[in-house]
Amino acid sequence: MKTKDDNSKGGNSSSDASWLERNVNVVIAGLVIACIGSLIAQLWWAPLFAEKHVEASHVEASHDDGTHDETSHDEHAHGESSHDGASHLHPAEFAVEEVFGFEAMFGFAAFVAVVFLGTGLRLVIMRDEDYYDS
Amino acid sequence: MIHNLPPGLIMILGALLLPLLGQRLSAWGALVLSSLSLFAFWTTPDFHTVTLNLFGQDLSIVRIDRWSWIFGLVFHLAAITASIYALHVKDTKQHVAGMIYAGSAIAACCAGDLITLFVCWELTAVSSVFLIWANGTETAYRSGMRYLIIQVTSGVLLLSGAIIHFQQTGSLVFENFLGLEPGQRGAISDLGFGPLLILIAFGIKGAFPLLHNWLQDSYPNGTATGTVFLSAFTTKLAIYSLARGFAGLEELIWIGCAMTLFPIVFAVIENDLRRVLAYSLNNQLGFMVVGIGIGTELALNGTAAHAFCHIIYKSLLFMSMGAVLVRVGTTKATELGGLHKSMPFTTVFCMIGGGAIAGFPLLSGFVSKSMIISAAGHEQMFAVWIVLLIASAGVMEHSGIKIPFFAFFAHDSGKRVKEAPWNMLTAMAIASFCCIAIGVYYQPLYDMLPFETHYEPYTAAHVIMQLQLLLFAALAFVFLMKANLYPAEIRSTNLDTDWVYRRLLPRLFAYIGKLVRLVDSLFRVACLAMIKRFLNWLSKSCSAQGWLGSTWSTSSMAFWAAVLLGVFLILYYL
Repeated sequence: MKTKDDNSKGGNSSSDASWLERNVNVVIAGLVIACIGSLIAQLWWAPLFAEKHVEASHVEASHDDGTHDETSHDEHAHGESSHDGASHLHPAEFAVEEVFGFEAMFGFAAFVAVVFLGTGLRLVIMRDEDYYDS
Repeated sequence: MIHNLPPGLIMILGALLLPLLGQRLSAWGALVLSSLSLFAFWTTPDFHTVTLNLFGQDLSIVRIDRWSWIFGLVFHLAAITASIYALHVKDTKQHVAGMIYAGSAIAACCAGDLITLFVCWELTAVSSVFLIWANGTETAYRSGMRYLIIQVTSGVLLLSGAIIHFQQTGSLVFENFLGLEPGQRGAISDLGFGPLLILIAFGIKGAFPLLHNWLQDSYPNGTATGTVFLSAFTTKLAIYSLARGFAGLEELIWIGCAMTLFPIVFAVIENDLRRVLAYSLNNQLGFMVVGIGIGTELALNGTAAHAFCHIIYKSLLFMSMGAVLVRVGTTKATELGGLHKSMPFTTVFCMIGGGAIAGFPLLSGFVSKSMIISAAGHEQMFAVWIVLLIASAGVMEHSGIKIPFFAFFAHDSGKRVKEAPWNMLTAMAIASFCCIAIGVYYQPLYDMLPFETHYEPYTAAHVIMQLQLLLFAALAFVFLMKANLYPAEIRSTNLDTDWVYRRLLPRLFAYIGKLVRLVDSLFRVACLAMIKRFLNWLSKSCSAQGWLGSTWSTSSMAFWAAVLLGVFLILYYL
């Protein structure tokens, strides 16, 4: 289909625009709020993040997290390689996870990097649609 | 009695009877067959083995342990959903191919020896190609041919490897070739030549980097319903085989890492959304291969769980794109957009599949993928852990956002089509239900895993970190779209390794052929010229004016006669 037709039809369809199309900004605002919420949640649960790292690095530390008992009994099974059978509150055990908003920044940066790499890759590998047919 | 036959045999043999039902009923016949087979499989006793003595060799044609069980079960579920999805298809040969394909994949993951495995391995290849050819186009035919050649090659390597392995060890039993227990690791240098060939065979079917391109080449060329079948079995059979034969092989960690990374970049710029899904599939296989390489109980559990969840949500995604293909006639992003108005249910199902593959909490991908990432963390593999995080953001890009966004939202293409047929919606609803059910109530899945586990995916920290990763990735998408930095969809062909055998090698052979022809013709011309010159010289020499033909003077005659006599005289005295 030619783009001309697309445009004309797209123009017609503005009359039957769906709720989503009319409220894109609401959706985006919702996403932003969710993002901020996930950061606040990390602040809220910060003691857990810290404690998890302490346990992972085998440093003797007093457990002062009695309030967060819903996760304190969590335990991950991981075969014979288990560290002294210590209970782990989170699957991974690297100091960098303790950094505030690490995964947030990482997610954002990785996404942008992947998209830019893809755009760059186009320069090398993009050909006409009927490349193999010609 | 029925339990002494390989699971899946009901489907394979039953498929041969499907043509008798006629075009309308054969689809229902396929559904009945896969359901019957599931019933038989479900009632099979645990740790069931059947040994058959053939040509003096003990072949264990049935071996059902925890590995076989979980793969056999999810293969059955995939076959049933795909059968429902294909109920409207009137083409009997597709149903026959689908059933033989699914049946042989099930039989393969319940095979206890390498020969039985090989037979089923080749049967999956030969039967599945008809799901591509059924499309009827020239492109599909050629693509199917390439698929078949590569798949059969994988089988031949498997058989060669099995024979060499048998020569060296006297055993055909299919078990870990390095003799490793979970938690131990070995290197590729410890492998014999036979197992190495087998590894390459598995690697081809498992779409290892550089061996991968048959996947992206063929799956988008299958029929709308055929690709749903294709997405479930071949590659996951390879994952099962790798886990069985090569768990703990260290190199697999890095192969897996590469597999998670490169497809996400290709997926960004691909226009055909079914091909995007094929790249996405490749990336998901990478997670599983990493798990197999790490080889601890947690990692292997993660691999099995991820394969289980992956088969369901990947089928779901291919089903949603199949529905679009059936209704719109294409899955090219440039032609789509705004379909959420006319296909609302398909849109919701696609988004559930996208959320599951991206690993949103409460959906199936979250409870399985995190096991593999955790396993890397527990082994203190920082680089692997980082790679898997990047890959997770990448999954969010191509499957979580790109697929639903460009098909159902984005700019309105103006296309107003009917919602997908009822049977497609039913199949998608079942798959969506499974994605949510596993995400919420994961314990039954964990109980099925090869090793006992007390893994707890829903810890506060884990949920928050995963949400941060995914939400900020989505935010990055919004940012890039608003800033006009997101690459526009362009109708194009993107080169991949298939360029080597579709362009480079044919061109190279053509070039070499030309060169040979050139050298050959030059040589011929040179030879002919030489002969011609010789003949010319000869005819010239013998002509009346030539030195042989002309009359010689008497003095020179006398001179040469004297010389001759002199020579005779000397010879006589010697």
